[in-house]
Amino acid sequence: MAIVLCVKAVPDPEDIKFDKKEGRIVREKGTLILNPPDRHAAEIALSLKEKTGKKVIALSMGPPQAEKILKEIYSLGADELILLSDRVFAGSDALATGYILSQAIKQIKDLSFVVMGEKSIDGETGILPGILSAMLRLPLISGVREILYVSKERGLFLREQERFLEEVEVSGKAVISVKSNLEYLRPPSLKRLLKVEEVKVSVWNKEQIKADEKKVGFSGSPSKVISVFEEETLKRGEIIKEAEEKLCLKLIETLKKKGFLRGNQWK
Amino acid sequence: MEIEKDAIWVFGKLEEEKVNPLSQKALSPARFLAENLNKKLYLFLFSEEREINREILQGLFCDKVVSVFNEKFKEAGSEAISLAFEKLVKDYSPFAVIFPLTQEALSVCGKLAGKLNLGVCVHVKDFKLKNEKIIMTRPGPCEDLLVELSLETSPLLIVLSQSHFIYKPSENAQKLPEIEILHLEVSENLPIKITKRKKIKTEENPLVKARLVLGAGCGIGDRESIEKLKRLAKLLGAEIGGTRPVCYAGLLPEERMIGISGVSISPEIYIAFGISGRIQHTAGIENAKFVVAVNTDENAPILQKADLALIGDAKKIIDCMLKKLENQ
Repeated sequence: MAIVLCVKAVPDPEDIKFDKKEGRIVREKGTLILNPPDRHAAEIALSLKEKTGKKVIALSMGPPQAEKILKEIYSLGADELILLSDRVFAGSDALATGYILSQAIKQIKDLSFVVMGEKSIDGETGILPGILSAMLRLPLISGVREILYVSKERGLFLREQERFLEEVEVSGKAVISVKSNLEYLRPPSLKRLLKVEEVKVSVWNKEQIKADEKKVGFSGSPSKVISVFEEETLKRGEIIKEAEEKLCLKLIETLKKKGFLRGNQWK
Repeated sequence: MEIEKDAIWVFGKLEEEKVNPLSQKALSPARFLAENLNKKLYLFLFSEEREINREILQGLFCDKVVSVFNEKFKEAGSEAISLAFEKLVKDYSPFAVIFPLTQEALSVCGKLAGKLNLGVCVHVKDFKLKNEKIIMTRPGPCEDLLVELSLETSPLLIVLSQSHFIYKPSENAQKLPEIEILHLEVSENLPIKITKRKKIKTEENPLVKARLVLGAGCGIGDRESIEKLKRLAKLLGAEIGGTRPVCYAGLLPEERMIGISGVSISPEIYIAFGISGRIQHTAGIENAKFVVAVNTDENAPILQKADLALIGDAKKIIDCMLKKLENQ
């Protein structure tokens, strides 16, 4: 039996610049990092492995450089690494991404759980677990924080949903999205770090996952980007450039005018 | 049931006999669409209780509230709600469905999108209408960027950002909505069951209701300056918040983060000390009534949000404020 852990390589937020003339995003170094919430998902997937003896297959869709983050997951304890990489996948929105991931997961035999982070930090904010669970026709347990019990037939999870903590029981397979507030995240294993260079990442393209080309990439994405722009100047108030002493007085005066620092006790 | 097709729907939840405040807030931009496109606006309230207290309809600016009840909503949460909602969407083909940004709404919306192959736009903070087409604005992958998107599938699925725009409804929208109570069957046998539920005791974040907030950015991103800012806050009776880097560096706890990843504030005055003003942060201060930016950089994006910009060293200004306020 297998636990599938979905992870994503996201651009390093420090690395993204905007080319005003061209109106497009430039990634100077092209550095990719593991989407931070996925680190929490890895912890739950690997705990499930320990409790059930099932293997963990780490799955990621991305360019060839995304191999790096799969190897990072290997060092934590994953057994197999699969990269979904095909030029036609580029430009996929959340719906097309859900389709690609679901097609890949359908190729994996003896699936038990699909585990993923609650959101990715580069835009698709938390909609993917729902989409993927619907496409796989599996129930979704969102916001999982802890595995309370797991056996072959059922699992009991503690999850956080808005203002409630809930215990959710599931019989059979499920998609699990993990809350990014776990207290413990295991460190990489030294033994695995030493082997990481030799580990093989299987690369699957659109044929291997039997994907319909019309449902992936730009053409398979119903959300269309019209423009990317820097936030406009919405208001520009009074600008004062003076010695700090004077600025301080101005600030105090403003606070007083707005009803703070009432009374004459302020110099 | 009398429900016009091609209407604007808002997804709502009835919790402890109250409409989830975020669903209620979502009615405001939905009203904008309904009035401008001349469509009906319905609030779908999924409820775990059979009865609904009609007093809650006060202040809901929509044409009709449809209260949907099924015992399974309590047992299976979003699994059951999404099945019921899917059926309603199929039967009454709305023009657009608008969701507030809650975990449950995200699950229901994602399920709907995956099941019916629909595009979704998440974190929408603004709409524009262009030839009857809706253009949505949401934050881009990099901090100061915005992206404009359209969706090519119907109905449009829109999840709002927590700091979306507020629209004042016209006079005639302000009458009490009609109510329709619907007991919907969910025939499928669901493999999940919520066996226990406990309310998380959370103290309300003091930032949310504070009248005066001092914000800390990287310009004062060291322990000593933050300590001074805390002293200043105490003297002024203000609350302290910070940007993501400041909170991630451990200088302030994460509950103090203001912006998309943190809380949205609406104080009388917000003073941003050494904050450059990337959208991840400024999205959280859009409802501040007066913004003061203290920054050495005249070109910092925060100036675009500021009613008053003080160009100078934030650390020195804090020192100076402390001196004046502590010395009397």
